[in-house]
Amino acid sequence: MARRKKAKGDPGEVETDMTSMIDVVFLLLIFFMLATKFKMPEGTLRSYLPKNRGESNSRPILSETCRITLMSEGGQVRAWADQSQVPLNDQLESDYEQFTGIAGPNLNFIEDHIMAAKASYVPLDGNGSLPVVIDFGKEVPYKYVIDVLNICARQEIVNIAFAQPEIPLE
Amino acid sequence: MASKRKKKFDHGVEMDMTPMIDIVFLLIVFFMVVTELSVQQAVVILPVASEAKVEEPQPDQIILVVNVSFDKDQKQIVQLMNGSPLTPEELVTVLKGEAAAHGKYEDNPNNPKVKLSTLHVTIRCDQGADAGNIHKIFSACQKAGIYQVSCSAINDRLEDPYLDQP
Repeated sequence: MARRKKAKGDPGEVETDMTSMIDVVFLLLIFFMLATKFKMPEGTLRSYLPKNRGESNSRPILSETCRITLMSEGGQVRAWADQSQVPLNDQLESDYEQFTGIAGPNLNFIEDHIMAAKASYVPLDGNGSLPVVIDFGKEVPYKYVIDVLNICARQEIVNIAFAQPEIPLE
Repeated sequence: MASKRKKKFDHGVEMDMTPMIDIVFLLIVFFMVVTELSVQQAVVILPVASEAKVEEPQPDQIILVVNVSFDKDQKQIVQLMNGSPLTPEELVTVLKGEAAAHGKYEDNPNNPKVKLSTLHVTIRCDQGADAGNIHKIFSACQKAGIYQVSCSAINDRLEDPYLDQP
């Protein structure tokens, strides 16, 4: 595109040939455009572990708790909200269920149960929120634990305990 | 840079390419900054949780990331950032080491004997991984005196995460 011209007696304006630079710059631009994958912002569900450890710290579990139990039986996740069994979804809800092809427990049922338990909860000392115990078998996919935690967060339940599968002896 | 000249009998048309180059450079710089070329973290498909909050890290806050993911043989591995796979015992040792290296503790009113580290641990666990890993990580954190733990999730999924999976 640029032309070099030499005129007699004209020391000449110096022109840079930018063609090759532009070639390279376009190449870089296309490379970065194709290589870019935007990162999804990751959120977190905050939790605080008990500040003491050992058996002495554990508060006595009150009888008036809401207990969500998740069990995995050969890949099929079943859930219980206190004594009542949670029905399975009629259709595959999340991308995970679509991937595995197995319908999981109905989360709305769990949410309704927690809402009802929260509404009828009478705290012993007047202030304090409904304790929810999440008891999950170790082969339950992590997704369902997060789903239950998410429901608790949505219902503004802060008193959440994970049932310990076995107490390790130190 | 470009100069416009008009000469008699010279009908060559010259384009002024300066603005185009400006914009192209701008785009290159943008994409270079935005691109994540190397994957700093293990590949984890996080679960979706509508209540997950994106938190800005505090200036003095140090976050350790524990990843639970699947390796090539579909075996579940626990690793700190993208380090080597850890057994539960190794995880306790590593977390204790990190807490000691961090060296900042806060008072524990309930039990002065147990020191509480100010470290934060974020668990990035694959949505299909066994939830039993969480028990192990929680207990490891507690043994290391770390009580601030959060579970990563994304707010909303825009694409099918299993599309580009092997």
